[in-house]
Amino acid sequence: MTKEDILEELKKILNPYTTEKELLAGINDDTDLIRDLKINSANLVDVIIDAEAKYNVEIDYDSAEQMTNVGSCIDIIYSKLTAA
Amino acid sequence: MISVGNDLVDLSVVDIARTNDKRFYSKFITDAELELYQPDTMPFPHFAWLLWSVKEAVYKYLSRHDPDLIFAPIRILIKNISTPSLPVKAPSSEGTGLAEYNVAAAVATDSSVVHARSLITEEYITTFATTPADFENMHWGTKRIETSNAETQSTLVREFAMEKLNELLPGKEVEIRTNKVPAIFVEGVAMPFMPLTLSHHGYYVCYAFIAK
Repeated sequence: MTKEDILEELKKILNPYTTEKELLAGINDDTDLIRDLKINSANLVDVIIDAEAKYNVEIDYDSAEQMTNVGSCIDIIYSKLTAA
Repeated sequence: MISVGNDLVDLSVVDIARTNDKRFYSKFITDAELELYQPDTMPFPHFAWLLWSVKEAVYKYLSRHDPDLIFAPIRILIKNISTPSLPVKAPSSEGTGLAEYNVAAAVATDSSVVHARSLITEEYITTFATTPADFENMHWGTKRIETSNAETQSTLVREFAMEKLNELLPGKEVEIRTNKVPAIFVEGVAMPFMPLTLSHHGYYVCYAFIAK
């Protein structure tokens, strides 16, 4: 699985938690989950849990706290997949 | 340091089944914090979201003076909580000082202990974090809104806070500017001794600011 593949799946994971649908379609590494996509912080754990379920990986505390923008989300999911 | 942080959780929009799932709550609650749970005081989902809101409010309190701080809820450790009375059936919507609260928590950080006070109602949990002395000088408000759209929430919470600021500072030009954290400006001048914090979730908005 490539980082481009993860990006497309990540859009689906983020979709229920953002009303910024146009922005979601064009997200890039720098897109901030809270500031740009207006995802409520109370849903950040949902994003992590959904990503874990989608990729059958465990995202530990240290990794989870870095998942603040799209690029870091992709990098962490990619690293978990390649380490598995 | 003078600061204030707040957080609000609308209980009508949280996923209760997911909240009860250990995979979910263990992302932000430590084993030591789970020991603080007393089942006779509140349902577990309320406890989980209470801890979340305390951690978020404390994070906001700290990040005012450390804007690059990353929100890492598992690292904000709640040492104790007390529950004077539960629940508050008909809470006030605005006030000065926080007379009505039903949970107090102490949170140890690297350099200090931050105090948090929470109000748990049947509809929402709201938490404020500041020093014990500044709770007396804290103006706060919580109200229900008609839409859960994020952009609208953001606008409405600012309007709500502005109503109170204009009431306290009649005839002055007051603005709320946001650069990572919201800040009050009076006649174009920043007011670092009037820290402001805003929160919205679901169908509720909440503000708090310190004014002596």
